[in-house]
Amino acid sequence: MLKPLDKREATLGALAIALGVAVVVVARGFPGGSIYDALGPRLLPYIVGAGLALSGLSILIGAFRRANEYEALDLAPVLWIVAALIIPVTLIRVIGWIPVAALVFALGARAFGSRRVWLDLALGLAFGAITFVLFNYGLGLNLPAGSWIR
Amino acid sequence: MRKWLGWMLLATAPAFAQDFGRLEMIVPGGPGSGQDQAARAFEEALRAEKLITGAQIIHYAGGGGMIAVSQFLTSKAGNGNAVVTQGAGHLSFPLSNKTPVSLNDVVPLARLAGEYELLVVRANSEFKTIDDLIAKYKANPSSITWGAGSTGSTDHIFYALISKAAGIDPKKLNYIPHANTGDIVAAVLGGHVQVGAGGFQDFAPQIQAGRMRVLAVGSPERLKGIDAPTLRERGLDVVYTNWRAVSAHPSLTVAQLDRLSALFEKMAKSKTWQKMLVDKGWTDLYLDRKGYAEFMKSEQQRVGAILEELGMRAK
Amino acid sequence: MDTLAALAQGFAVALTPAHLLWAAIGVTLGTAVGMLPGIGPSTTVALLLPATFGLDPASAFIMFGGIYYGAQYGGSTAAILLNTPGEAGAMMTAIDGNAMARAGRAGPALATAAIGSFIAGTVATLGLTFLAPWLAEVALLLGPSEYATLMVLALTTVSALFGASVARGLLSLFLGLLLGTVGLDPQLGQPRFAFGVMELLDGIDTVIVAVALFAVGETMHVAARFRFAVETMHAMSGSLWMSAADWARSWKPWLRGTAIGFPIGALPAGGSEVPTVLSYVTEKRLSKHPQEFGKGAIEGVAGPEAANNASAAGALAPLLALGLPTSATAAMMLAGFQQFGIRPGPLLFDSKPEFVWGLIASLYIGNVMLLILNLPLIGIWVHVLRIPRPWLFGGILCFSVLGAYTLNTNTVDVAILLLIGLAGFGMRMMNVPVVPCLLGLILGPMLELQIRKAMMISLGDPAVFVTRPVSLLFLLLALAFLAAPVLFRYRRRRP
Repeated sequence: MLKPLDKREATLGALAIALGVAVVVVARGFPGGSIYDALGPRLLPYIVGAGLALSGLSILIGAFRRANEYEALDLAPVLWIVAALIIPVTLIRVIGWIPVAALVFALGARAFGSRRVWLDLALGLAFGAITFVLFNYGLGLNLPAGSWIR
Repeated sequence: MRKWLGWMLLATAPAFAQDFGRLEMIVPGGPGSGQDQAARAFEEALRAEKLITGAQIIHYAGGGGMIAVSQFLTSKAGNGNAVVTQGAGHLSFPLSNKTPVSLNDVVPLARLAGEYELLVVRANSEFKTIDDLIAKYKANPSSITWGAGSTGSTDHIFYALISKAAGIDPKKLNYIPHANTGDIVAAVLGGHVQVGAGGFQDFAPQIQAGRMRVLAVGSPERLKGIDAPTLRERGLDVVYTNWRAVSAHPSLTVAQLDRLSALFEKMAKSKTWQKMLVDKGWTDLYLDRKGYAEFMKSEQQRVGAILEELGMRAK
Repeated sequence: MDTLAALAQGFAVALTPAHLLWAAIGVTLGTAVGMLPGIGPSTTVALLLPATFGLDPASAFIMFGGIYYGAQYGGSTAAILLNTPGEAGAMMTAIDGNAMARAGRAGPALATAAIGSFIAGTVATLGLTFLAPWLAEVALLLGPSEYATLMVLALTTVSALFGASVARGLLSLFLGLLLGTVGLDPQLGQPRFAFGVMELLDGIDTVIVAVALFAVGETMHVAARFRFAVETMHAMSGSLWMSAADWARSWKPWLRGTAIGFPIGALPAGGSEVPTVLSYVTEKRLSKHPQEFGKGAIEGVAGPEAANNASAAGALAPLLALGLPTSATAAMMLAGFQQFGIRPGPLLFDSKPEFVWGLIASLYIGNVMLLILNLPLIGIWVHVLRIPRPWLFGGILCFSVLGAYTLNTNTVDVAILLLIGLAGFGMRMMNVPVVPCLLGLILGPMLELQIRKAMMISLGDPAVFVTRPVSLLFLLLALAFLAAPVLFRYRRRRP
């Protein structure tokens, strides 16, 4: 009696349910309302948690009813993009914006199959340098120059 | 004697500028915010008085001002040309929210200017005087809606102090938070809340057009040009300001601190700054290093106590 | 007619070659800066304000006008070309605008945005001229219960964007609502879901989520498929300009967008997203090609762009009539006026009418200048899409990171960009619509704040939502919106 199980669908549903439950559990730690604010900080999280769980349940049930066609996906490029985005999060204050821009650009280009590493880095560096000058000197904003300069 | 000393200080200004160089200000607010405007005012005055060659303003908005403080601490160690600006709200925020840093982690340098908080109502409000308001509040605390900035902000604390002075538990205040001054003005004018609070500048256009009235001011004496009694006159001992100040990095030497505080002292006493205060409608609240440090301590106690009574003190 | 004469005089003052030059400079600067994701119109105005120092008031205000409109148009350009909406009002534009761009129709998309903005600006300027004081007074009457029900209305309209699967649409919406709760609770200041991260106390910025869901998510999705799919991105298919069909499909959305945007823009707590959302959904409901929405329906660009521009003009009504800045940009304009010793307030129209008319005329000139300068540039912008894909997307990622970092100068925002970007990729992979998530993030906090405020003012009495007439009206409209498809289906079945 095993109906076809759409694994991806089921995972989505299960994740949603888990998230919904987690939200409600965390929200229980919030204080309730005050004398005037009857609804309090807990209400919306409870509704959201319930909504997530119920939608997730609906999707999970649907996973047992039909299997969807999914297009083929290659996850390797996505990892390159993730790498590209982790660089600024960790390094922008250390090495400054210009090298970070070079790396983000080059890694992003690599995700789309570009093999011209040095050219990509150079282009990214140029982007970084131009925007650095524009933002810091033109607009008075503060792109970091990197603490390694000190 | 004081005047002579002042002239001597000002006379040394040009040499001072070359000596001082560029001032770096870390500002806990985005471009265009109140803190940013204050910082730019400092820059303008200091430059006009030739006390600095220029200033760099770096913005770190958010986190109740504590992100800026945190950034200041990590990036400006040993830097005798850097200050972090702050305001009354940044003193109260860490008291009601657990933050890794607070204003106690930086060295108070000088308190500069600000505005006294006052209470406003719309022109055709049922409250003709502050006594009417307090009477109704005492009779039925939940019948009054008080509107102002975000919960735990200076306006909220102002109301709480008034409530306490009137003998009512501040928890009974029906406080309605708003996102910004524009919302507060709209709420008061539209009759959605009955009372508003803020500085005079926030409400000046409405007051001048006769659409709003000031009920009372939270200052030690009556304010020039405002036809309203002080809270003290009416038996409510509340003086509260929304002030702006600057602090320095804890790693600086005494010599560096002296240099920085002399800079701001000169600015505060200068003609340019005094004129600016008049133009912008700000009140001169200058306190030097020692004065500001003492003020901070006493204020933290006062605000901490009232937040405790509001049930908002961070554990 | 007194008002028209005064306005005409305002134009006479504004229309000198020197002033026109300042307008052109303002527009160019505003557009350039407005394109950058982290920098919305209010920040743009704040940053460029110093550039107006030393100018005489008339020139300064003309430059303001140019910067003001330029910043909005810059945001739209970035939204259409790169899927990185520079500001809240450009988010809806990005959906169909970028879809059109990828199908080679960036030219018409940019054109409809520019022309729509111009038309909205024209109508709104007239509206300001005649209606500003009245509109501002009416706007004051709306309180928390009206805003709450307006948000309810806006949220119900989001259901039109769910697509085929209601469960997925709801999942997306609730996810957005969850993101909206992160930060300090609006009423009690209670930190929610911040997990001790200071930068999260102010909540998650909608622009970051928009850029993450749209640009980053899409980039990841394209990257994951480009080995298999022959997805050619046409730089240009068809004409650079709008075809007759495009015009025919655009003009009504332009007018409807203006009608929606102008009054809502005048509301103090309206926000700039609500008009664009309502416009987008209205156009989808009324369109003869609803299935095209999300894939490049020109109405989906025309309507929201007009609404955005009209709402920005609408925000000037309370500013000029009452001295009330109701948006961050308006607050910046106020600061700019104060620079010149002008204090807008209820007496402004009476005490300094020449200033008001001069300003309105200046803003209008900025609007015209925008059209004149930007239409020819479309030809250049379109070439951006000809850049080889690795570089184009590398550039988009750089742009996104730049925007995320400069928004608040912190790295947590970039981390959010990454995480939400992955979520956006996952959602695309699983056919979960992305837009409801963004709208949940935008509308959720506003709804929660207003409901709780209304309940506090009414001391816990929920009847306030139905006893106040405007509030009840919005609720009925929301019900009508939900009931409409059901009713139509019923109607069609009957012979």
